[in-house]
Amino acid sequence: MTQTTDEELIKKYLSGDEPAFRELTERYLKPIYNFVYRYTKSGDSAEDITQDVFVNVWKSIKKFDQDKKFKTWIFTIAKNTSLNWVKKKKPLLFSELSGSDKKNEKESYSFEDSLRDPAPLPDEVFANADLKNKLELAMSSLDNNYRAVLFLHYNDHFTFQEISEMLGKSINTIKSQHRRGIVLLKKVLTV
Amino acid sequence: MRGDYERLFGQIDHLEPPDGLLDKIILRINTERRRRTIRFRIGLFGVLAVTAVAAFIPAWQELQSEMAGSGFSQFFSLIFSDTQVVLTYWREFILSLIESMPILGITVVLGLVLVFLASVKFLVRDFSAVFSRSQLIKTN
Repeated sequence: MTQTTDEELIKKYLSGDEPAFRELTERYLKPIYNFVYRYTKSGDSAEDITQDVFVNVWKSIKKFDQDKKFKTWIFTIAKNTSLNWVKKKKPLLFSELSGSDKKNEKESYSFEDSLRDPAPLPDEVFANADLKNKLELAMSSLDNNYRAVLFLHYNDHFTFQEISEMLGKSINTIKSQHRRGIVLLKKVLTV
Repeated sequence: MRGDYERLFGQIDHLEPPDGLLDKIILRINTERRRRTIRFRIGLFGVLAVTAVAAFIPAWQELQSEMAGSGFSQFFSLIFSDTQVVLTYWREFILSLIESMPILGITVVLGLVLVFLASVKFLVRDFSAVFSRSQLIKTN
């Protein structure tokens, strides 16, 4: 049996089917919680922000453009809600997270970025028994911008175009951050 | 290459949301929905109450002039000035009184009073719901 799509659930909810929204929430609860946790690093805050995200989704679901992808939309709300939380909590870190990319957008897309994708990971990387810890450590050593792009692309399976819409940055900046993130990650993992 | 990295990211543990988080979210949404309804009702009944008060003044003036014009006041004052006559011809008197009564004016004035009282009643109920909820949040 095929699963009801997000858009179908939204249509059902908007036509008065209340449980459809619960189903939608249930479907995105874990990915959103994990996404928010990556910003907050605190279970309690992640729980509060996740609640805010879904309340915000409920508040604006009537305005949702059904020609667009719901997944991108909800993650954008999650990102904005998380950044607002970070902004309230640590004003300095917010500037790091939101990135002053507008200024450096042109220069960030360098010649290096126009090269083809980095080579695949060597098999030894996967052979490492402590890979999970090493990866978590490697990810935490990365710049927030690179980390966000890598997670969204490989963990949450978003395309570069979707990530660019979500983070409000140009696709070239996203590709550039992805490439740099991959290079740094590979460097840390293969040491 | 993408597959390689997806495999790599698959190694990362995904946290399970805390138990009951889904129910908390649904509860918050329901609370928000109630709050939105109450806000709407407060606005609606507030506007109704103010409109009723504003409309009452011209309606009352109109009723007074209708009463003076129809002779209702004069008929009515007979009850006090000629009680004996009124009692003797009470059927005719009541008929004349009803005929001269400015029904429309009285209906409008009473309607406005009812709208005002009902609005105030609902406003008090909604405000007390908001107040008791905020008290509840404070005590928690």
